[in-house]
Amino acid sequence: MAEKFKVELITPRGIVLDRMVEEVIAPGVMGEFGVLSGHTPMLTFIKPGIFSYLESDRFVKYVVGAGFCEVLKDSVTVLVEEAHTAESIDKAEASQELLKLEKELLEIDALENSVQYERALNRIKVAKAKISLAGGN
Amino acid sequence: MASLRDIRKRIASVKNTQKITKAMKMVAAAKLRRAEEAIKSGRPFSEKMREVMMSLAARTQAHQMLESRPPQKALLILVTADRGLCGAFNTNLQRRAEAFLKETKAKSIQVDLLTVGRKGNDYFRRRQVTIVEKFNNVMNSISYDLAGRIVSIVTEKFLAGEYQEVYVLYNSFRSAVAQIITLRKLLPIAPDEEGWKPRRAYLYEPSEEELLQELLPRYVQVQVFTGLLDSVASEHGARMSAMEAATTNAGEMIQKLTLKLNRKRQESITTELMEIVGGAEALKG
Repeated sequence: MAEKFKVELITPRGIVLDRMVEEVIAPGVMGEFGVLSGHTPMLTFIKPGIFSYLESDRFVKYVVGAGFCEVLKDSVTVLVEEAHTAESIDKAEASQELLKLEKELLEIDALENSVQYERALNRIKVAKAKISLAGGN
Repeated sequence: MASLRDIRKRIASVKNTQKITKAMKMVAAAKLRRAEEAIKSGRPFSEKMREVMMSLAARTQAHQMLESRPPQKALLILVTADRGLCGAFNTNLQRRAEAFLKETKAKSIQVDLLTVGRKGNDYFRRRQVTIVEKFNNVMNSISYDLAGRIVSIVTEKFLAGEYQEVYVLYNSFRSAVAQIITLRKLLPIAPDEEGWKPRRAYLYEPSEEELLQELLPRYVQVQVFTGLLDSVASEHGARMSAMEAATTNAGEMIQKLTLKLNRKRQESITTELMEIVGGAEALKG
């Protein structure tokens, strides 16, 4: 059994997750990365996608929005804009949201309003991740 | 002189008002509890954010959002409520904003406004201030995303050099009965002495500069978000105490009116009796 370390998943709405786990896999901007206990201290961004942790041979998955992640020797802190458990996702609702967001995206001028464009793009990624996670159940 | 019937009507109407104010107070109390909860659950996020931000900023000083320049134009984000009936909540903010405008005018800095909440917009719309952007009827659905929308407008203008300083004015929440008007400088981000210490060595992915670039707007976003949460909680607190006072006042008024009514009623009975007695006397005579 691998050594455990503390992981925290925090959103502006509160602490979503705070427990001891064996492994964490997070979607970093430079690609997905895994963290085990004793990792080199690191600071990186999280892009919207699927975040998961391993505890007693079982991966638990979350859909997360954009944010960043601080890895220390014995703890991982993830700060993201939103986080959803697989149980909390309604697939039909997520598909509808995706359609709506894609329509909205077309109306934004990417050159003129790059910040807004990126924000909308991020939300689409979250919606897509939601659908894929809900589909896996 | 008011007749008996008038007074009765009056009492009935005051009683109705009292029912309404009492109900509003209960609603505000319930909403306040939820708003307080939201503040509490938002705290870990903003604290962690601040910690990381500060340690990063201490290592890489150069960024436009950290540099202060001599101000010629400033932007004030005014956070008020959407609705009234919450005591001096909005009035105090408006007064403070006016004072701020006067102060800056004396230093020949031009100030534009960005209003969040309908009341602030209503007040300043008819005055000689430019409102660059307004967010009306949003206080019921405060979200991190909303803060992001506000911040992206503000940072864009700041980075374009349109404004050299950005402030935010809101009621910060102390307790249900105490709201403190807070004026805070949002941009440029002021180095905070105590938090300004480098931390342990990290592996940065991507580079420190890029991280900082991304992190600074988010840091501002968190600050605005906490401001909004505070304002919502304060609003409900203010409304609760205002409605509490209104309910008590209505009670007092009902008491006074009832007293008046009783006196009036006795008076009229006495007059009637006197008349009867007088009539009987006359017949006897």
